[in-house]
Amino acid sequence: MFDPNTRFLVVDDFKTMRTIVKKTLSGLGYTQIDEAEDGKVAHAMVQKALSDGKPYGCVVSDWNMPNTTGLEFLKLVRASDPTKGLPFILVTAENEQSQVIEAVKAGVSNYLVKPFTPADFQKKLEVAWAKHFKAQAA
Amino acid sequence: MSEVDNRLRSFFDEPVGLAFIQAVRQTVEMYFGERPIMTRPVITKDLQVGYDVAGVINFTSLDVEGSMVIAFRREFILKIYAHMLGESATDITPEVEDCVGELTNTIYGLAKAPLVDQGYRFPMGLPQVLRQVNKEFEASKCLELPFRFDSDKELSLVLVVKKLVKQAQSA
Repeated sequence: MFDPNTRFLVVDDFKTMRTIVKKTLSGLGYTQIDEAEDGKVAHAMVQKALSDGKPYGCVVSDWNMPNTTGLEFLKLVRASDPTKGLPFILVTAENEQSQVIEAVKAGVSNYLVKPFTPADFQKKLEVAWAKHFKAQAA
Repeated sequence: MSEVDNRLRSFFDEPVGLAFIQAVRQTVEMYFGERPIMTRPVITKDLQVGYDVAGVINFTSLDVEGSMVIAFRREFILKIYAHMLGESATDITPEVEDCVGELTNTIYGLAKAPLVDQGYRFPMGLPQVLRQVNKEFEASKCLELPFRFDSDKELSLVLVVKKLVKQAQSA
């Protein structure tokens, strides 16, 4: 599972959902949690964190946002060498098959469907961590 | 749609009505801890919606056109807000409005997913939040589905449909 010192970036255009995700992460023991209101702002934060030498360890992003959507943000992250391996969880209520396929093709680490429980969220985090780090940890 | 008046069958495709009803139930139950009870639906061509705050998503694509409204009484949205966020509010603040937007977003997304998979091309939509809702929706098909817990009509799902065409599914 993610180290307790992992830096999380929570992205959603609704403060309500950012607060719910942040509280859920806090309940799981994570304390380093930043937030952004859309993918454009979030991408700039990812770049700055990298240049500051304090990169994010996981992104939890809404899909449906104005300006830059979660999917567009994911593609930007995956297109850049220093961030292409960053664990990235998309959160959405819109989980039709075509969207899931699109997200998988873009390299999403996991997909969390709203509304969710803390237990749902924890499972998705565990799977995302395993996808990126299990081989290294073994 | 056995729990809904049979007249609804002539107004809405059954999967569409059920998907939205189920989305309201699932979302409210998850965030409020109780499943709301749907009361008698109201069908009309021009619907007056009188509530304190509402989230609205207008959907327009080649095949579907209309609006989904999730309307709340003040006391009830304040209860949901407290339950969702663990913080109390005494009035409809910008934070409570944000909560209405998120609920609307979640309900629409949940309803949309199975419908898109069945061939109804509902587009993505971003919600608007309206205060002191007393808006007249004009449409060829308009349905108000009130839900309650203890008292009557604490929230309502309103579906306004101007166009609804289902695409044939490819094999």
